[in-house]
Amino acid sequence: MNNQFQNVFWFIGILIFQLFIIDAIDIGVYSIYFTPIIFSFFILKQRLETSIFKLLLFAFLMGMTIDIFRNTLGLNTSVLLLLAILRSKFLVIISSKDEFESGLELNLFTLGLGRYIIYFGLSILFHHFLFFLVEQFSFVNILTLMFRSLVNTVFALLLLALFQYAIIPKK
Amino acid sequence: MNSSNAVSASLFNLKYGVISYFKLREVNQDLLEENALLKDQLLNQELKVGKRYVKLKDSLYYKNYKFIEAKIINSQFKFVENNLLINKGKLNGVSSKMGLIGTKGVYGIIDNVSDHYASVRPLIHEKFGLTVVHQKTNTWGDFKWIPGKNNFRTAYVENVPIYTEINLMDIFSTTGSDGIFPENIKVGRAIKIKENKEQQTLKITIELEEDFSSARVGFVVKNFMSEEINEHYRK
Repeated sequence: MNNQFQNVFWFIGILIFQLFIIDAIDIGVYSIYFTPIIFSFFILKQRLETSIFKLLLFAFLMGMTIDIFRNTLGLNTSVLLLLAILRSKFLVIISSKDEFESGLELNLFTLGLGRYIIYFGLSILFHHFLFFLVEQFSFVNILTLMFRSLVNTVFALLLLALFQYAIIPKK
Repeated sequence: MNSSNAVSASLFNLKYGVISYFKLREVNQDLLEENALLKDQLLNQELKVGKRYVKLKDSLYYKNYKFIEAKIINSQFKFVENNLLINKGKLNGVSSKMGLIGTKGVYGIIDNVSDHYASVRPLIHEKFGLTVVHQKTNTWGDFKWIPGKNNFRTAYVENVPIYTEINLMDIFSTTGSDGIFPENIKVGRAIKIKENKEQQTLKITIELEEDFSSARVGFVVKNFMSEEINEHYRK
């Protein structure tokens, strides 16, 4: 019950932060280097034992809401659904034999800094790259695109870390 | 299911209510400047029709355009398919394929309309097309915004013949032929000119007049003759 409540809170919070704050920040002609996508955190942070059905449902709801607000029906939904399917592949990289206890949410404090950067970094980088590629729908300027996704991933990781320090209570 | 629906548009409206205060000074300044310009035009009219002359059915004196003032409550400028949202809709007489201009230049064309809101396809959209004219020589060219190569302040004008004399900072404006925008609304200024020897054309980089990152107020252009113009294009 508590978990469901937390999910709703994170869903709305991340949505507002993404749509009304990050999308509105203007840093002049370099604005394309500051378009971090942080709403994938909602999918990535779900517990280890969350079923794939639930993940896909969350991803669809999240992607659809973002799409309605940004007027790009289907773009964010498709990329986020793919990320939800591939989440377990990214998890394999960090969880070798010494797994964590089940029932823990994945975040900066439960994973530790190294694993946070590897798991969230890789998956968010993948999300950015795929999103920019589908948005542009061609391979023109592929190097700029890669650089853009790298820079934006760094910003997204920093923002998410900040977000987590501010919100998640430490024990 | 687009961003001009009631829920998302009213949320963006709320956001506009909060952040519009930060830009009040600049908006005020822009409006003042435009006011001054309009007054200037009004008082310095070259053509005056006195009482002795009777206006017959001359299309020069038809009231062609009506301007509906609108607030731009959300403006995207970071994406490939950007989108603006304004707070005037069907009930205010706005319908799709009308133009939206700002105090300095062109913003875009209305796309989707709901009861109280409308979404606009701006100049900085991958699939935006417009014919523009070079004011000094009256040469036409095609406006094009390419996402990877242009940022939200610049765009290209293509297919201008190579013999056209174009200097830096020359103004490109609307033609008025499409029935969407009136004549002589500024689009941008030339900041870079490149020759294409094979096709014998010029490719001109222009700086857009309007800054989409701080778009706040605009005017929807309603053309009373657009149906008549479109009849000619259909044939």
